[in-house]
Amino acid sequence: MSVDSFERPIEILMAEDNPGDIRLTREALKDGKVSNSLNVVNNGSDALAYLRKQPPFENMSRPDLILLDLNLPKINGIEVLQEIKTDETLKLIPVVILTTSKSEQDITSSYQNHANCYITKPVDLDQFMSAINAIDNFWLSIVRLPTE
Amino acid sequence: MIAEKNKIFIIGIFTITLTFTLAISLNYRIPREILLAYNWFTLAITLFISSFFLINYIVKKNRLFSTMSLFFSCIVILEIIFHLTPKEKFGLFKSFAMNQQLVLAYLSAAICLIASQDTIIKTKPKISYSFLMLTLGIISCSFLINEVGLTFFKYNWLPILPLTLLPIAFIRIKRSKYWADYFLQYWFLLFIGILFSAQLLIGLSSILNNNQLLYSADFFKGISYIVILCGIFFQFYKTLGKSELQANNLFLATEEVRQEIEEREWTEELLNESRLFSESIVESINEPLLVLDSELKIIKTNHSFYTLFNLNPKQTLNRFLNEIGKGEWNNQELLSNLKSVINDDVHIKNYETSIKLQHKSKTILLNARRIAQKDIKTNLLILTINDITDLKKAQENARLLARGVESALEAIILTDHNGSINYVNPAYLNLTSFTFTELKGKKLNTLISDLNEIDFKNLLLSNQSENKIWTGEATGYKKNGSAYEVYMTIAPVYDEFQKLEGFVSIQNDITELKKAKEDLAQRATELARSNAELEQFAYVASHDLQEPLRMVSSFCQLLKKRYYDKLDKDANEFIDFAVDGAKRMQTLISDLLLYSRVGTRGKPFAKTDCNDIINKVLKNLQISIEDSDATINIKDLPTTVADETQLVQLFQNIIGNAIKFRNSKSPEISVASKRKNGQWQFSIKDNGIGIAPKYQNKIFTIFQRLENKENYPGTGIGLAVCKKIIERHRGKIWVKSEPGKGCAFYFTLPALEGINQ
Repeated sequence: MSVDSFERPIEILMAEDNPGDIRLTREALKDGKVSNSLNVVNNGSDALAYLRKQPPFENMSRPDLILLDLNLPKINGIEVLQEIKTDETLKLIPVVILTTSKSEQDITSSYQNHANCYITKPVDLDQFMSAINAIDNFWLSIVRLPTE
Repeated sequence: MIAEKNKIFIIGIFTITLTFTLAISLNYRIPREILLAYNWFTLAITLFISSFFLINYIVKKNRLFSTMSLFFSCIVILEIIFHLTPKEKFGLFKSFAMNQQLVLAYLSAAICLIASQDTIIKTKPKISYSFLMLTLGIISCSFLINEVGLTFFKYNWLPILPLTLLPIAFIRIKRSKYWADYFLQYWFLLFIGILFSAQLLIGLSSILNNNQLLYSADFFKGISYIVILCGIFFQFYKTLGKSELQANNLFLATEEVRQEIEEREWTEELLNESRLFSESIVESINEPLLVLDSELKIIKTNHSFYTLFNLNPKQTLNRFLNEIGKGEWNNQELLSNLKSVINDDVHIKNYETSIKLQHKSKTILLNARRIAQKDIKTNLLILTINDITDLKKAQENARLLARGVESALEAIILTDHNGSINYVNPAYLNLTSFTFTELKGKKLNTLISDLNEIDFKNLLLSNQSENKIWTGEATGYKKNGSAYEVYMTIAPVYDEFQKLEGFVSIQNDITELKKAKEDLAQRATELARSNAELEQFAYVASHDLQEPLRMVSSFCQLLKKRYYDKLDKDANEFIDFAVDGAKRMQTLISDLLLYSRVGTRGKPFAKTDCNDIINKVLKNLQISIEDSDATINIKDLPTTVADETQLVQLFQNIIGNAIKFRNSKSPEISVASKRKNGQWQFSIKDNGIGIAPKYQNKIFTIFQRLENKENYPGTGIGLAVCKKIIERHRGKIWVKSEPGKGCAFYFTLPALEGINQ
C-alpha cells in the first residue's frame, strides 16, 4: 500500500470511446483496493487537450496513469502515445495500452513508442475485471513512479 | 594347220634351193648339166610367174599385175636370150642382158612394194607418188649411167641400184591391219637383197673377168625369182581357207574391189573408232543407260546401271529386261511401251515410274528412243534411266514446306536481305487485308512498329547482326491502318554458302490472346482482391463483431453476477441463455478469426523439422494425453518447408481430434510419413470412433459437426483450418475411416528437395 493513497486518490485518465468498456473499467476500479479517480475522454485530441490542460480541461490535474485505447476517433491511440512520449513533461506518466487489438503490428509500434505496457482487453468479464485490477494494483501500488 | 605345214614346206624348199645355190657359187665341182638344169628351172619359174600375172591381168584387169606381167615377160625374153647366147662370144652382151633383167626385176619389185602400200598412198598420196617417181627416176638414171659406164669404162654401177629401193621398203605401213602387207614388204626386201648379191657378183665378174662369178650371179638371180615365187605361194597358201575377200585382197582382187574393201576397212576403222568413242561415252555417262535389241534383250549397259541396280555384267548382258534382278522391270505397261518404241519408232519421253530397289522405292524417269540401224535389220533401243527419287523427295519436301507455309495460321513473311518483302502467306493477307502486289518490295519495318524499333531496324538492315533472331511482341498495321498485336520472330535466312539471303518473319496475332490475357490478369487481380477482401472481411467481421459481443457477453455476465437470484426464476434462466449464447458466439467468432488468419496472417515458409513440430504439439496436448491415457507412436519425421506455426496447428488439430473422438478404449495414435511423388505423405491413424463414409467429405467444411456437443464439444473449425493450412502448402488432405475402427488422416507436404529444385 502506497502512502500516497491515503493522501489523495490516484488520478487515472482513460482514453476510450466505447462506453461499455468505460463502464466495465469503472466497475472494475470500483472494487479496486486503491482509491482512484477515473477521468474519461472519448477521443485522441481530447486526451491530448486533457493532458496539456487545454480548454475545457484547464482545471484537470495531471493523471498518474493513462489507460489508452488505440482505436480512437480523431487522433488515434498511437499518435496520442507518440505525443505523450515525446513531451518532456508528460513522458514520465505510465501509459497502459488497453485495446481489443491482438495485432503484432499494434503491439510492436506501441512498444516502439515507449508504451509502458500493452494489454488486450479480455473477452471474458471476470478476466477483464481481474486485468483492470491487476493494472490498478501493479501500476498504482507495486511500482514506484517518479514524483512530479 | 594347213598354213603351218605350207610354211614349213615352202621354207624347206627355199632353204634347200639357197643351200644348193650357195654351194654352186662357192664350189665349181657341181656338174655343168645340173647348173644348166637349174637355170632352166628358174626360167620356168619366171615364165610361170609372168603367165600368172598375165592371166590375172586378163581376168581381173588389174593394172598392177599387167605391169608386173610386162616386166616379167621382158625378164623371160632376156633370160632366153641370155641362155641361148654362147657365153664365149657374147660375154658383154650376156652381161648386158642380165643387167637389163635385173633392172626390170628392180622396177617390178619397186612397183610391188609401192603397190603393197596402197593404204599409204591413200593417206599420203603426194609423198608416196613423189617417192615412187623419185625411185623410178633414180633407177632409170642409174641404168643409163651404168650403160654408159659399162660401154666406155667397162665398169658396172648397178650394185648401187637396190639401195634406192630400201627407203621404199622402210616406209611404215601404219594403218593396214593386214599382216600380209607387212610380210610382203619383208619378203620383197629379201628379194632385193638377193638381187643385190647377184648384181654385186656380176659387177665383180666384169672387173675380175671371171665367168664363175657371173654364174654365181646367175644363181642368185634365179634364187630371187624363187624367193618371189615362194612369197607368192606362201601368201597364197596362207590365205587358203580364209575368206575370198582376203584372198582377193592379196592377189586376186581387182583394183576396184580392193579399193572398195579398203574403203570398207577404212569405214570400219572409223566405225570402230566411233564405237570406242560412243562406248566410252556410254560407260562414263552418269545416267544408267541400256541398249536393248528388238526382243528387249540387253546388249549394252554402263557402270551406273550396275551400281543403281546392284547387278553385274553377267547378270545383265544378253538377258531379257524383264528377267534381270528381281524382276524390277517386269512391268507390262512399260515393256509394251518399249516394244512400241522399237516397232513403231515412237519416243518415250520422261516416262515416270517407280521401281523397288533394295527395299526402297525409287522413282525413275525413263527416256527411250530407237537407234537407227541401216544395215542390220533388227532395231536397237536406247533407254536412259534417271533416278529422280531424291529430286522427287526434295520436290515433295519443298511442296510440303510450301503447303505448310501457305496453310499456316501464323502470318509468314519472307524478305530479302534489305527487309523488302518477297513473299507473304495467305494468313498474313487475311490478317491485314493487303494484297500481295501492294506488299511486294515494301520494307517489312514499315508494316510493323515496335517499342524497340531501332534494334529491329538494325536487325533488318545491318549485316553484322546476321545471327540474331529477334523475338518479341510488336504492333502491326493492317491495310485500313488499324493496329494488331503480334508475337513475332524474325530470323535470318542463309543460302547454302552461309550468305545472308533474307529474313523470315513469323507473326502470331496475339490481339485476342493479349486481350484474353489482360482479361485474365484483370480477373486474377479481381479475384485476388475479392479473396483478400473476403479474408479481410472475415477478419474484420470477426474482429469487429467481437467488440459488441464482448459488451453483450460482459454485461450479461455482470448482470448474472449482480442480479442473479434477485429477480425471479425465469429471469435466471433467461440470463443463463444469454450468457451461454454470448459465450458460444465468442467461440465461433474466435474460430472464424483463426480460420481467416490462415490465409491472411500466415508466415513465410521455412525449413521445418516435423519432429520439432510434433514435440511442440505433444507438449501443448500434454494434459489431454495424460487424461485420456493416450499412446502416441511417432516414426521419424522428415524436414519439410512450411509455416511452422500452422504446421503445429495442423498436427495439433488432428492429434487433438484423435484424442477427443475416442471410444471406451484409451487412444492409440501413430504418426508416420513416407516419400511419394516428390512429396511427403503423412499419416495420423487412431483407434477412435471413426467417421461414416458419407460424412468423410463433410468433415473439412467449416463449422461442420458430426457429433453432438455434449459428448464432443467444439465448433467444427479444426479440420477446416487443417485443410486451409494444407492448401496453403499446396498439399492435399483426406481421410480413410470405418466407423468404430478409427480413422486415418493423410496429408501431403512439399519435400525439401522438391523446393530446392
